[in-house]
Amino acid sequence: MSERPLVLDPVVPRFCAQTGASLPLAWELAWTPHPDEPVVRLAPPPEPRVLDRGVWPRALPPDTVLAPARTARLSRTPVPFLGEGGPVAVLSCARLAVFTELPVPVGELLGGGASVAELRAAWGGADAAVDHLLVGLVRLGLLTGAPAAPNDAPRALVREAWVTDAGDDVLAHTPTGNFLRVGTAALALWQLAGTGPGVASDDVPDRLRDVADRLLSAGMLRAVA
Amino acid sequence: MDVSADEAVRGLTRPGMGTENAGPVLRAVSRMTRPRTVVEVGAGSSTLHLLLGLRDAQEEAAADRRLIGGAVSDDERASVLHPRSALDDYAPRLLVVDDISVAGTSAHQVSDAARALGLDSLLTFVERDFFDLTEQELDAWGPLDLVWLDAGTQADDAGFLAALWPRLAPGGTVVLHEPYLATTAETRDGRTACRVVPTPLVQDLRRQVAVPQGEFDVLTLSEPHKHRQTGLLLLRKHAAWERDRGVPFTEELQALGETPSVGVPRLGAAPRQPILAALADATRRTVHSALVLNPDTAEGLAARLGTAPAQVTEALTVLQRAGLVSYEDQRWSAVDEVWQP
Repeated sequence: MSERPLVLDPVVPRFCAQTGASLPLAWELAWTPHPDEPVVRLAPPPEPRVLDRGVWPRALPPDTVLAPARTARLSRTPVPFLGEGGPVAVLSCARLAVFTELPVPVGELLGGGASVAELRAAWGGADAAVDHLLVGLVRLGLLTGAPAAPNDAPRALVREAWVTDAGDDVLAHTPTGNFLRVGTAALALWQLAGTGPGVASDDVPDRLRDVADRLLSAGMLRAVA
Repeated sequence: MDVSADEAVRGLTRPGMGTENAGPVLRAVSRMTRPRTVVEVGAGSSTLHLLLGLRDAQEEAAADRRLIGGAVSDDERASVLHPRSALDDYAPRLLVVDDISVAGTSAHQVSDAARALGLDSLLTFVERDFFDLTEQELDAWGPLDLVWLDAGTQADDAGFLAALWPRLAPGGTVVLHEPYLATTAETRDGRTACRVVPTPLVQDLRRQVAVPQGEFDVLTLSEPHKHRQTGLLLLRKHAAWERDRGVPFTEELQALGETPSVGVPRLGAAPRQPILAALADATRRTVHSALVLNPDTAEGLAARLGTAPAQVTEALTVLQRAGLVSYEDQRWSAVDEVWQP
């Protein structure tokens, strides 16, 4: 998986600079065919999407079969929207205003449903890293099939996939286009959640629990078992 | 295009400004319509295109004058020329309003390029913010024939039009950049998406023109390969001689000596609501209501309503064409039959 740094303007999404449209809406304008029909009315950009704060598994059984959610759409674009390079597969959902760019072989496998083992092989890299991405796609509502996390497992906070530090104290969650301006404590918590097994939930100070919830809801962190 | 002019235009053209097609259109419109007073708000590469168009028009006008004056012969060209207009002296000017104190303006470069091309005699810079200009200063420009607006937001465009449209000569044209924009909108399936849509200004202008005796034409040109800085909006003010004669198409074909073997082409849905269109004006509704209450003469209506006689007469013309009123025995009255199913 590419570790190329992603350069984003945290205030104005690329491509739709004057619209205030979020990244998923801008991607949809760029790459999906639009029906020849009038819009009802001009509307302000939608509120940032709020993600669940539930607990997710860290790893997936290799025989788990994952498939696109009923409302998700698999497509392919000749160039990526968020970086440079060649063709990419895109898993998107217009109703949820979310999109992710995947390697083409992964997209092709997902089209017919595929096991976690197959997807790990197609994606390449460490199994844990691939599982992290796959669970993230389930959390975004783009894939179905992942099992729930065990209820009694200790919990931790880890960085969500596809989140970058966009500079100027702004975190960017590209699948939803959520940009969150954070203070020092929130940034430190997010950075710590990216090390080792993450931050144990019980270790989060009381004064930072609201901050942790905000980061979870904005998709910057994920609660894992 | 001349080599030096081409270089000058290229030096001023910024791809992100989106006027790579608009510029040549402006040059062609200038040459085609031979405007005497042109106004541009915001200097840029389009200024050079306008100047080149005016220069083209001047050269062509001079050639036409020699032709009409008998200095040269070209029967085919002479056959299309209006003799009087060809002999009129054509001395156009371009007024460019640009507050050169604003960072990022290319006014100095434009001025230098115009001088290098020998076109500076056609150009006058008004070094002010447009909205600081007084009514008297705008009036001093005289009637405007061509206006090019590419300098602000929707609200700015509305302000430019409000100030300049009354000063546009009959037959004059206003050209605006960006009749379309990409923005968030509610779609028919109830969600918010990003779409390219006509601007609010274009929508309202189209509504204004969709009435009987609409006073101007609206035309939008798109550049479908772009999502912003795209397209042109042309607004042309009708002159009095262009007003609807109110005579059916086939009847006029006969008057022209053509055989009316076909009906008028219907390009859109059949006009289902000519009555509503006729009543889409407060004065016309008032006049119609007054006649419903009491038949009257035009003078009597004007006196009853406290409305200028000319306005009453104009309203009666439109209402009569829609079949809402009739004139008999020197009085106007409302027509009841039009309301029957």
